[in-house]
Amino acid sequence: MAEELLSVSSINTHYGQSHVLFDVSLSVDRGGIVALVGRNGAGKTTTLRSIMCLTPVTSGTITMNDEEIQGLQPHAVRKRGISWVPEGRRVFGDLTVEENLRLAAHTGEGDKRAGFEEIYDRFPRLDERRTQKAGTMSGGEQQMLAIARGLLGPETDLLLLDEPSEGLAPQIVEDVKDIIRDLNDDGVTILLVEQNAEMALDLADLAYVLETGEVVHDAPASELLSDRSAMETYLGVK
Amino acid sequence: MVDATTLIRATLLGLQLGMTLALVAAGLTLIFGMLDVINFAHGALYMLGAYFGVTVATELGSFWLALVIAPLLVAVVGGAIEILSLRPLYGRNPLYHILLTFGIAIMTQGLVVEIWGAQSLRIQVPDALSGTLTYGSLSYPVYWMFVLAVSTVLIGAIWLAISRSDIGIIIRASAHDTEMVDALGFDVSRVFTGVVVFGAALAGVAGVLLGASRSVNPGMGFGVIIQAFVIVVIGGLGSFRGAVFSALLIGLVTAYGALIAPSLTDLFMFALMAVVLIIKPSGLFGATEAA
Repeated sequence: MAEELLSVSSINTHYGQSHVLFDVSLSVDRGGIVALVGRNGAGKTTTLRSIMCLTPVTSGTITMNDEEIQGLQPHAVRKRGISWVPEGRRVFGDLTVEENLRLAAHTGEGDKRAGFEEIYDRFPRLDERRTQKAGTMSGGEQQMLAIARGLLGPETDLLLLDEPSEGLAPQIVEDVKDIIRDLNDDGVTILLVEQNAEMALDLADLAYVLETGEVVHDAPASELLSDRSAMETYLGVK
Repeated sequence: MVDATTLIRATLLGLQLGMTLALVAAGLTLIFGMLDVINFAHGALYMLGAYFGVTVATELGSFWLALVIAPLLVAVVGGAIEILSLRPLYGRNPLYHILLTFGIAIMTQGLVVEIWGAQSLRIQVPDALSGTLTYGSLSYPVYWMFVLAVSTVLIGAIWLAISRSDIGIIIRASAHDTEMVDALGFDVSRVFTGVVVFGAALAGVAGVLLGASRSVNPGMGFGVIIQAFVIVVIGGLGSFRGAVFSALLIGLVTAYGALIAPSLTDLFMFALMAVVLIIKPSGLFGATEAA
């Protein structure tokens, strides 16, 4: 039995008066890739934001390494090994690539240089563009920077990836997939939110389907991918 | 027409005015950039700097001690304002902050009148800085040169720190996207307090510097806040570079404007703001993409 890294148990989340997540539960095992798929507005992003404590849950528990984290501040969640790569990447556009990375590395401990070189080895495109303003880079490059930024600083055990393929050309999506696979091979557990269900299911071991704020289906990713009727019912993919 | 001496004098005056206003506007724009708070109490902090300066200079008999101690005291007040009153209101409608800080400004003014009285006071300029520099037909007070030098060095140092240091990166990143900075592992609430404390200290320095060349009175806080707002709006809300650049611009426009039509200097300032807002609504250095 694999070791459970993250456990989300019956969480409810509200944005002001509107109830967005209903009793959502999911589990991510250490070393795995779990996909969270569903239509637009199903609550995928909110689930990640709730895990990160950016949009606090109103009830339910979230544990990371058996420690409850709901109710913490986002920076404290980061220090517990969870890193968030948001939808739309949200790199600091006015800062250079190097400054974006320095910022992220700043909260970590120990020798930051070593971490930097490792990141530049992993992302040679960023190495070439160290002094370029992040806002002037292409979408794919910004996505790589956003992921790289998520790996620096405190040790990253779990990476929350929100729509990493959004707005990218098919070839670049392949590059992003390779990066996600490589990271996972190196021991980073991944919770992947994707509109592009096929891409996500191709990468993931396990998948949860969200619909209007509820988990309506969960299955091994390959099973869901080959289940034509489920794909069509839940995701509108034919 | 205007002769060269008058022009040089006006330029020096304009730069001095600009640099001291930059000290006030820098805090205002950094606080807005990071906290999304329009701090109406910033002028009151500037005024407190001047009054603390008066008291320290009188009690301890040293302008120099006043220049160091008064801003530190203002910094403490700034920290208290952030922790006790601003912090509980983060994330609310910005109107709350405007009302809150406006209220703090009025209360501070009342307190100042209660403690120091309504009459104008002045900080004694030390002997070493009194007197006048003369160069040909140009004469200029030594103290005014000192004010220009101190504020320029301070602004220069902050400029360097913001563009080079890790703290500067955090400040620029937070001005762009506070939530993301939090998610990367920074306790932004501590950064917030730090920025308010620092901005308050800068306003305090400006208060002491100008408290010795102008009068120290209970209306000075509201006088400076209007100018500082215009500067921050012209420079682009949240941009430090923009604030410095536009403070110099306002300083020079005011100084040159005084040569042409002394009674219309405020008009020049607001006209400049109107022109900038029409051409570039986000301000000269304002982010074009909304953060």
